[in-house]
Amino acid sequence: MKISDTQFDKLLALQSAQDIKNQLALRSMVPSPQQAGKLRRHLATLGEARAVRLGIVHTYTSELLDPWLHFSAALNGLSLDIYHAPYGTTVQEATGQSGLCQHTPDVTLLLLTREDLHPALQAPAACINAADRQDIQAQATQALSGLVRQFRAAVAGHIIVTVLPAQPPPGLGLYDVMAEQSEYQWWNQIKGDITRELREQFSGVSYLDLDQLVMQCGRDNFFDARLWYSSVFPYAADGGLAVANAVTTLAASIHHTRAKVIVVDADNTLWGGVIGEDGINGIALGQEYPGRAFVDFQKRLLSLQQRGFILALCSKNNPDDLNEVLLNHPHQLLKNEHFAAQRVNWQPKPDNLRAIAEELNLGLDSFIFVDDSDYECSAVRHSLPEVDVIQVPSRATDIPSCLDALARLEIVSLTAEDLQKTAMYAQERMRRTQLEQLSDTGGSIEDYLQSLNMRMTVRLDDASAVARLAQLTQKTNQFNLTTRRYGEKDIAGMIDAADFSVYHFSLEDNFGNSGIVGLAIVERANGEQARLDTFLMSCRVIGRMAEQAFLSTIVRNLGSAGVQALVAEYIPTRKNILVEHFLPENGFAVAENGVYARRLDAGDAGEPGKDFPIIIEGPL
Amino acid sequence: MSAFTQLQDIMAAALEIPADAIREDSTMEEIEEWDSLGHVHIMVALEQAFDLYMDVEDFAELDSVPAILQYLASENAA
Repeated sequence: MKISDTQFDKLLALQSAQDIKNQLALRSMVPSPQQAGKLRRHLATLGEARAVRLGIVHTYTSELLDPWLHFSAALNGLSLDIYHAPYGTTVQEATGQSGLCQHTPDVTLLLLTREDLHPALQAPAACINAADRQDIQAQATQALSGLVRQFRAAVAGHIIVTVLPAQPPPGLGLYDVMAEQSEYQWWNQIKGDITRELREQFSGVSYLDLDQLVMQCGRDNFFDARLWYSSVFPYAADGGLAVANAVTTLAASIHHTRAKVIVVDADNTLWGGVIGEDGINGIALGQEYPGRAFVDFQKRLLSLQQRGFILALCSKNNPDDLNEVLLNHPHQLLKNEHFAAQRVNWQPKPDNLRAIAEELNLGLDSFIFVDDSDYECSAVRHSLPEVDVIQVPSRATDIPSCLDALARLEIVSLTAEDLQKTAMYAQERMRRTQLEQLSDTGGSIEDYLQSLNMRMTVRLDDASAVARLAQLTQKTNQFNLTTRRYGEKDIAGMIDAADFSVYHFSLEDNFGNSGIVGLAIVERANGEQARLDTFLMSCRVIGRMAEQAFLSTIVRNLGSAGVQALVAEYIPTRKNILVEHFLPENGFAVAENGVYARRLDAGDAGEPGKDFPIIIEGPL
Repeated sequence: MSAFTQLQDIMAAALEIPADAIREDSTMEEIEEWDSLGHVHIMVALEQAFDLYMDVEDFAELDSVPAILQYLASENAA
C-alpha cells in the first residue's frame, strides 16, 4: 500500500526504528523511492547501524533489490555493503578467488529459480509422470545440497537459500490442490526434502521460504510481469520490499545481541481492561471482540516460547487478583508454569526488570519489554536503555501481530534446549525451594548439593551438538573466560580438526536434565602444550560446582593424552567479572602477559583433595 | 511545484544523485547513473509517484527528461 503524506509525516515523527518497522508492517505500507530515502536519513539519526557485508549470487536480476535492501537494513539497525555476483553464475562464485569470496560476506544470499534445481522443473508439473517425479525430486534436492556444500566450504558466515516461487498459478488451476499430480503439493514435497537436507547436513544455512512472502503480499502484488519480461527482475515493489525485509531481518537476528526474555504486562496487554477494577468477569478475554484479540496475542506469546524465548510477567496489581485470572479464567492461556519469573507488585517497573534479570541470571540487554502504558514504556526506555521496549498498540485488532516484525525474535535454528527452557527455569525454582528448606533446618550448601544427586555427562567432539554449542558461544556472557563468538561452521570445523578438542557437558539431577550447558574448546598447539580457547557455562547451572567438575574432567583427559601444560586466558568484558578469579582459584598460575598456565604432569591431573558432589561420566 | 522540479526530485532519489545533476534537457546517455537499472528505478518511482501503470513499451521510449515530461503531460499526471 502506498504511504500518504499524512501517514508519512507520522512515520517521520516516530523515534525508534522498531516503531517505524512495526507501523510499516501493520499497514503493509510500501514507501516510494523518495520516501524510502527520507526514512533512511531519519533512521540514520536514531541510532548506530551495524555494518554487514552481503554477497548475492543470483540467476535472475538482483541489483534492483538494492534500494529495498538498504532501506530495510536501516529499519533493522544494519548498514549493508552489497556484492552482486556476475549474472547467472553460481558454482563459479564458490571458488577461492571469486568476487564473492573476496568480498568476505557475513551473509551470502542465493537467489535461485526452480529450474536451477532441475531442468525438468521448467516444464509444467502436470506433464511429468509420477515415476519421473520421484527421481526429479531426489535429483533436485541433491543438486541444491551439492551447490550449498560448495558455498559452505567457500564462505564463512550465514548462507540464506531462496528459490523463486512460480509466477503463474498452479498448472491445473483451481483444481490443482485436488489433483493427484498437483503442482502445489509436489513443490511442497520437494521443499520438505530440501529443508530436511539443509537442516541435517549443514550449519549456518537457512532456507528462506519465499512462498510465505507470496502469501503475505498476494501473488499479484509480489510479482511484476513487466519487470520480469523487460529486465528479468521478478519482484513488484511489495515483493521486493518483502524479500529485502526477510533477508535483513534474518541478518539482524544473527548480528544483534540475541533476545532471551519477553517480559509482558497484564492489564490491556494479556487481556482488555484492568483486573483490579473490572474483576475477573469484567476483563476482555474470550470469544467476543475484543477479548478474542487478546486470546490470539496469548497464542502468539506461546509460539514465541516454543521458539525458545522465556516469558516473564511484570504487572502493577494485587497478586491475588492477578493470580485468580491465571488460575481460574476459562480463556486465560498463559498460566503460572509459562512464566519463568513473575513480579506482581506496585514497585517501579525498571526495578522489577532488574530483579527479574537477577533472578534469571540474564542480562537486561536480552530483554524485550511489552506494555501498553506510555508511562511504563518511557520509564523503562529512560532507566534501562538496553531493554527493547514494545508498546502494545491501542487498537485491539493490531495487538496479536505487534511482535511479528521484531528481528530479535527470529531464530535460525531450534535446539532441544530452546524448547525446554521455561521448564528448566521452573526446575530451578524448585531447587531454590529445596535449598531454602534445607537451610531453614540447618543444612549447609554441601548438604544441598549432595541432596540433588547430580550426574554430569561430558562429551568430546560431538558433531550432533553443533547448533547448541554455537548458540552457547553467542549467548553466554557472564560465565565465559574469553567470550569468543563462534558460528555453527566454526564449531563444526573445530570438531573435525585433529588439533582441536571440543568438550561439552550436560547436568542431570533430581529435578531434571539441564541439556548442554557447558563448552570448552582446547587447541593442542603441539604434543605437550594445549591452549584453552573457550571455557564457558550457562548461568543456569551456576553454584553447583559443575564448572570445577567439568574443568577437572578435561584436565584429566588431556593429561592422559600426554599433554603436560594447559595455558588459558581471562579476557575481561563488561559482563564476565564473575570468572575473573576462576583460573587462579583452579590451579592455574599466572604466566606472562596475563596468560595463565597449569601443569598437568603432576601425576594426578585431577583436583587433589577436592570432592565433587557430582558423578561424572565421560568424556564420551 | 512544476512538473520538472517534481520529476527532478523523483529521478534524484531513484538514481541517488543530486537534483541539480538533472536538467530539463537531460538524456539517458548524459547521466552516468541513468543506466538500464537506473532506468527501471526511475520507471518504478514514476509509477508510484503519479499512480500510473506504464507499459513495457513505454519504458524504452522514456529515455530523456523531455520524453518523460511529455509522457506525464499526456497522462495528465503532472
